[in-house]
Amino acid sequence: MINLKEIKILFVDDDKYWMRPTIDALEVHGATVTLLTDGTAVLRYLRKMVQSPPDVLILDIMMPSGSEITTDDEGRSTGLEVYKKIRQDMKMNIPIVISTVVSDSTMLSDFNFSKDKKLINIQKPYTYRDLNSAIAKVLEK
Amino acid sequence: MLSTNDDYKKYLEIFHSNIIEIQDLLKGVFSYKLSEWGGGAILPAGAHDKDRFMEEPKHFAPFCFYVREQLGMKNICYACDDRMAKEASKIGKAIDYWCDWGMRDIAVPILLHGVNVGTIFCGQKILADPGDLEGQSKLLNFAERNGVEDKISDLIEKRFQSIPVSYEEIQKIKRFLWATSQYISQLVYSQLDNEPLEQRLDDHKKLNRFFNTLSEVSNSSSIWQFWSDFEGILPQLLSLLNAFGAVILIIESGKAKVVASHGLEFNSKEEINILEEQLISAEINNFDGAKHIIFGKDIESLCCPICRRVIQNHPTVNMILFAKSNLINLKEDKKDRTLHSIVFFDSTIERKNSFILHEKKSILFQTVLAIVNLFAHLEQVNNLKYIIRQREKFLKDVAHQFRQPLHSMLAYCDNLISQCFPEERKTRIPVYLRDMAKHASILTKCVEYASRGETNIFLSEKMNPANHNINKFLIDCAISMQGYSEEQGIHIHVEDTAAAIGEVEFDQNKLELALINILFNAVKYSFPETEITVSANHDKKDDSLVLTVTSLGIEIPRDKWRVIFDRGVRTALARDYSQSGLGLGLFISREIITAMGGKAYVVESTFTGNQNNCKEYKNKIALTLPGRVILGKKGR
Repeated sequence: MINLKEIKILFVDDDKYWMRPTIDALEVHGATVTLLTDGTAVLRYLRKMVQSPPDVLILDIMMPSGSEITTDDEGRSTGLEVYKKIRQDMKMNIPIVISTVVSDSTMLSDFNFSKDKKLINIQKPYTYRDLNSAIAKVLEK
Repeated sequence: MLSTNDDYKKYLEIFHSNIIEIQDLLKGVFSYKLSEWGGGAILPAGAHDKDRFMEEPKHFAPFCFYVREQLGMKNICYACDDRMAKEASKIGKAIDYWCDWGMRDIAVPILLHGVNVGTIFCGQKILADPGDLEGQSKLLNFAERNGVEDKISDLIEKRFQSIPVSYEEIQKIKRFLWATSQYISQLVYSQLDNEPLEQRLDDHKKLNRFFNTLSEVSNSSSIWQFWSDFEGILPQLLSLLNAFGAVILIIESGKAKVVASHGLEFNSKEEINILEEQLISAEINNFDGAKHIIFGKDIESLCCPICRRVIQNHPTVNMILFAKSNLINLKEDKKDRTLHSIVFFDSTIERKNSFILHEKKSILFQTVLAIVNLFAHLEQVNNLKYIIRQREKFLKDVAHQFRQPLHSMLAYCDNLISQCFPEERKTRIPVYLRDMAKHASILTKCVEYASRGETNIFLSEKMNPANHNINKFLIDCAISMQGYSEEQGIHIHVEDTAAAIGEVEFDQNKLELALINILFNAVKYSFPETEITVSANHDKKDDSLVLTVTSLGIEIPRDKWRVIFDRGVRTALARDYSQSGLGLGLFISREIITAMGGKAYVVESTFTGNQNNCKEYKNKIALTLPGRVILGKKGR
């Protein structure tokens, strides 16, 4: 398990009620967690924090998109659009853990897991240990 | 008529360049309706003298191939197909004839301006009409003269006697192929109009697929996929109907305006005006897409005044097919609009190379009826497509809805075991556990509902009404939502009006489930740092209990006030605001209240201003239960 003390985590999930215990666990283990709930808020935050970006982004897929992101499927792929904008438009290589209920391989295949070494997927429900392992892997790559 | 040899060559060239596609079309036609006939073939002009077939002989003419090649009788076969092709083109008609071996064959010329550019062959059948000895005797005499009686008998027994046909059937097929030949001519003519070849080829392929697939469609569940592929070829289908002897009149829905016609030639604008006046005087503006099929002059049975008018003014009409199509893309008008099509068969309309339709059960009628059925099903098809898409979305949503609270439960347990629960939250543990249990219970109920049919399951469940203090009930509901609402920064307030009412008779568990669903939605779609108000009022008219939940958040659009209580419905605004939700919470609330004899409805969704660049609306949802307030108790 990796020590999360002083690790800055940007946690993105619109279901903050259900994710509360996961965020609690991260904070209890020393991480500094910032919680956001829609895709546009993520982009704006990262633009503002470009000089000191978070160490890890934990990103949900299905969430509201906000004004800067357009999806064809009512927000079901907002996380994918955020990922693309971070990598392609903003050219940020921030490590990303995709935290999602989605098991649809079709949707996940749009993410560049094979080529992007700083990208990993973890499916809900998961324990703190699972999340810690995913963070450790994506930080090592 | 052609004036020069160059014209003839040009037509032949066009015909040859389309021959593969035309063959494919014929294959489709053959596979759909003539599969038991073993198919057919098309022989282009110019090949007659070379004894060359476009199809492999064994596929097109198995009998001919068998006799010529396998029995080695090529020298005594007089190639009747070649002779008859010339005969058919000479008289400009489809013909059926005896081959030299006593089989019945059909030759159909394909004519361009009176010139034969090819011939469709089909047949190789043994007539089975009782008393019709000509063919059979011809065959036997031929076999006997050439000493091949045994072989011919064996051949007939094995390969052809299993599919005897009647003379009547031969005539039907002949008419069918003649109409197909005319259609092919029209296709080639359109080439001369310089239509893009690519578009024409694409239409051919679609039409071919149409015929190939038509025979596979057996139930409405598959029809939507089938029909959606063929919307673009409606003009071609209409042309085909026209070639079969149908007159197609297309009028604009609700306006009785003649938009186009296929096969009905108007000599003047005045004729069109007269027809439009007749249609207008029918006094009908909304066509319901009903299908009318009549035989003979059974006018009284018609419920559509337009069809009655058509019959009254066209005494020779013997059949009307009425279909509604949502999409007709006419060549001269590319706009998509709802049109009303009348297709009627008039036996006296004189058109070049026309034929008369008589029987109800001819192959032609079945084909046309199948097409018209598809027209009528189009709307059902679109509805079915929508339902299937919604079901797919729902299944994905269910996975989402279950995994989130499961994850939360797992995480809480994990935190408790590993003792990494924040101190300030430890006192909230009972609240969280109660929330999760309730949420799991609601989800289970939702999914159970989704798997049931349309019947309200609460109608069959036993109600356990008892007297309860409504104020305490509402406060308990609000407390049970506390964990969830506070996480969203929302406070739930119970108004004092509830205290004034006193006791009410209801099934506590059911009403709690109904109200909690309303509150869940209210919290989910409320803006942060706002308040939700729950109130209870007594309607003295019928001693109804009226519960209302008022919140500030996203709009409930006026046209959705009813449908948001339907199963699986979530507005676009709701989806945009939150991905969570199955569209079942409000549905279940309504079902419960309905089973209790009450109503669930939206009272208002009023714009109150802009909050953080979002439009804020005051939303109020009410649950009404008549005759539940207990008189004489506290508060009265």
